[in-house]
Amino acid sequence: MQIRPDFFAQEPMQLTGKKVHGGGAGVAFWGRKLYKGDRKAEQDSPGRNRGFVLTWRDSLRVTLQQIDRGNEEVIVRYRQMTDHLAGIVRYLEGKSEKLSGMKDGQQFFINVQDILYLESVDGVTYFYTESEVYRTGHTLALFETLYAHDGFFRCSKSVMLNIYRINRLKSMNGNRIDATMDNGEHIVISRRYAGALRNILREEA
Amino acid sequence: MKGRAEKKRRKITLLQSEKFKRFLSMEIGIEIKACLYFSIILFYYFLHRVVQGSYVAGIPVMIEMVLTSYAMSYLQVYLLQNFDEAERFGAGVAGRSVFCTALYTVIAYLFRWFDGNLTVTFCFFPYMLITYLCVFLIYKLKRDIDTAQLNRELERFKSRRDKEER
Repeated sequence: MQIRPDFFAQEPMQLTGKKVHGGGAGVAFWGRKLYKGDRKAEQDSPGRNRGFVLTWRDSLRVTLQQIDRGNEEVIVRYRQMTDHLAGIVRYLEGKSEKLSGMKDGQQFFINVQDILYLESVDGVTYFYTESEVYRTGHTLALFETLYAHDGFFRCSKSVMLNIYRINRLKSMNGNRIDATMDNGEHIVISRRYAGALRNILREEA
Repeated sequence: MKGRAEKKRRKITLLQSEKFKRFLSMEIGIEIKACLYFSIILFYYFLHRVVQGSYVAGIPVMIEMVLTSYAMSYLQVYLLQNFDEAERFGAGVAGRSVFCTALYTVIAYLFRWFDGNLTVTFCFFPYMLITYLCVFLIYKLKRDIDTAQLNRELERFKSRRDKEER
C-alpha cells in the first residue's frame, strides 16, 4: 500500500504496540490532521472524532481517526509480530538500518549490523560495536520486538546479542554456552537461554 | 494499593519459582552424577564377587554404595566446584580427584565392601582415580562435540543470510 509521505508529519509521534488475542491485525492512526488518501475510503461515524477505514490489500485493516484532544499516536494491534508488521513499525519510527546512539554528549548513527550486543544497566540501554559504546533510548523489549528477525537474540535478562556478530561458540559445563563476539569479548549464555539459541540456530540451519 | 501488593506477591512467587527451578536443575545433575559413580563402583564390586566365585551381591552393601555416591556427589558439586566437569585437568582438579578417591577408599574399607580384603580395597584406589580421569574426559569430549556442532550451525545460520543478500 502506498502511504503519502506528507502524512507522517515532521513532529515526533508516540508509538505503542498492543498484542491482541482476537480480531484482525490492524494499524490505527490518531492524528489532528485528517488523512485524505487517494484510495477509496469509507467514512466512519461523524461527530467530534472522524475516521476512515482503509482496506489493506493483504487483509491488514487500517483505521484513521481524527481527534480534537490528546496526543497523536499510532497503535499497532497484532496477534503475532510478523516481518511485515515489524517493517511497518520500523518505518513509523523512522527507523532504517541505522540506530541512533549517544556518546560523550554527541549523537551518532550506527548501522544495526555493526552492533555486537546490547546491555541494559540500571534501566539504561547501551549498545556495543567493535570498539565503542553508545547509549540508546530504546528498551531491550522494544529492540527485541523490532530486531528479533535481524539476528538479535535475548541471551539473558539484560543482554541481547547479535548472532551474526558471534565469532565462536563454546559449550560449557552446566549446559551454558560461551559466545565469543567479533571484538573478542565473551558473553556467557545461561542454561535458560542456551536452549533458545540452539533452537534458533537449528531452525535457520 | 491492592494492585501493588498483588504485583509484589507475583514477583516474589516468580523469584521463588526461578530459585526452585535452579535448585531442581542442580539436584537432577547431582542424581545423575551419583548414578554414574554408583554404577562404576558396582561394577568393581561385581568383579570382586565373581572373582571370589560368588554370584550373589549384598543388598546392604549396595545401599551403602548408592548413599555414599549420593553424598559424594553433593560434596563434589557444592564444595569442590564440580571439578569432574572442569575445563582443564589442572593441579586443582587432580588434587580434588585424589581427595575424593581417598574418601571412597576409606569408606570402602570401613564398611567392608570387599569383605575386608586389603588388596582389593587398595586396588580400588587407582580404579577410582582412573574413573575420575575418565569421567573428566567424557564430559570434555561431550562439550567438544557440542562446541563443534554449535559452530557448524552458527556458520550455516550466517551463510544463509549471505545467500539471501546475494
